[in-house]
Amino acid sequence: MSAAHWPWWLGAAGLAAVTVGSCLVARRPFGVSGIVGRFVNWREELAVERSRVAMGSADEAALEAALAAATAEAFAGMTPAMVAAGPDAKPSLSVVTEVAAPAEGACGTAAPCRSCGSPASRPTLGAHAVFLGAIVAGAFLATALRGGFHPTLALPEAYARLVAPGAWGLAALAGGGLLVGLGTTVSGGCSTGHGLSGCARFQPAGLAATTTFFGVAVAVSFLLAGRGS
Amino acid sequence: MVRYRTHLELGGLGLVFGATISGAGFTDFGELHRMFTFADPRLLLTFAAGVALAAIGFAIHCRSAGLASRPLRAGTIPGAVAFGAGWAVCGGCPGAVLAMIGEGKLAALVILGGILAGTVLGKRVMGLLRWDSGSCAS
Amino acid sequence: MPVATSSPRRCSHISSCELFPKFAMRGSLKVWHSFYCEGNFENCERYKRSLRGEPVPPNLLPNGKELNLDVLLGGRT
Repeated sequence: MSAAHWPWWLGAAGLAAVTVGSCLVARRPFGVSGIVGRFVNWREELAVERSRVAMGSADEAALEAALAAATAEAFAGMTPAMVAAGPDAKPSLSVVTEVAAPAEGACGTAAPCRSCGSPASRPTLGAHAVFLGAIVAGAFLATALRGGFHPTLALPEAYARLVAPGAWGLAALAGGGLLVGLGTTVSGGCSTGHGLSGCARFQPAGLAATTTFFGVAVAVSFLLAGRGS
Repeated sequence: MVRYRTHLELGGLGLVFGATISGAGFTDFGELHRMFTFADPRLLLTFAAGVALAAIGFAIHCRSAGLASRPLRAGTIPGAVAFGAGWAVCGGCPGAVLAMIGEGKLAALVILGGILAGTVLGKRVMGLLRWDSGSCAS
Repeated sequence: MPVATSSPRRCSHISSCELFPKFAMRGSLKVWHSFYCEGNFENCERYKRSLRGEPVPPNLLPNGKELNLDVLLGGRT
């Protein structure tokens, strides 16, 4: 019941603090589903991370030389015009032309870039594991502090009543979870990445996705409520 | 210490986030259902005011932070439809499911299993349809 | 504004690509930019892997070759 929960302003302050804090201190736009998604491919992610660490620890001059050698090899025997034309002769772009200003959020120089969401600031899989573990711990602390920590395997009463009790209820939990995982992966964000972070920054994808998932959730909830009564 | 700075920062953010969604009640199926059926405006107000406060925070502090933009992509809307339906049925968005586990609502482990399976499926679907996620980063 | 305003032949992954800024280190490396990032990015191995939903190694070059990290770190343990 509402009385047991935080007032709206306290919850709002917490959500806003995490959303803005994520960009200020962790240099990442806030989003949970993308982080969860990393752990699905954790073996490949770890291999990629080892390369990232190695590449980050190589000195600039060595990296530049290695890239120059790879460039010479890749474009050997090609005239500037051929290079500019590209593999399937797209409209020409002169090689000597300076590349256009980098996109928003990109670092156009070799200088270390720690802007929010830049590739240079990508946290490790371990740091993201700490983040997910801390969500569990934070919820545990909040529950334990108000004396409500009673572990249970039972389905919540409202859920059993509105969706389904017993085995069907568990099946619906798994099916709902599947839709959540599928949807957030395909959509590229969830209620945090699209909802909090995307909407607060007026991002087109965030606004469109939030309107959509909220609208669908409202429709499905009214269907569930209507079915139950 | 410097090496683990991100661990500490993300750990702190995770603690506040877990406590907030648990305290606010996003982990409570009944509360969530009352939000979606407009029976109780408290959670909706929490979310909307959170977005508004964050927008003010971004306007003040992050103007020059070089935030990556998020344009609409092929999967944005279809994915959001699936997510909305799943959220209303099981009551768990990815963050809330972890918080439910912390609260001792262990049935949420079933939702977590579903989310992980759905994420694998989602990556397959994106690959089959050749839908661009807009990033090489994971 | 977050809308892409530049050339239509511009890879959508540029802002999150780990190699794109590295190709800006020296003029002669920018050939990768005009060939792939702002040219035929559909042929970039990094882009293709990302479309398949696979993690993209930071040392994977657009032509599918990998920078040898052992050589890069040579002389150091």
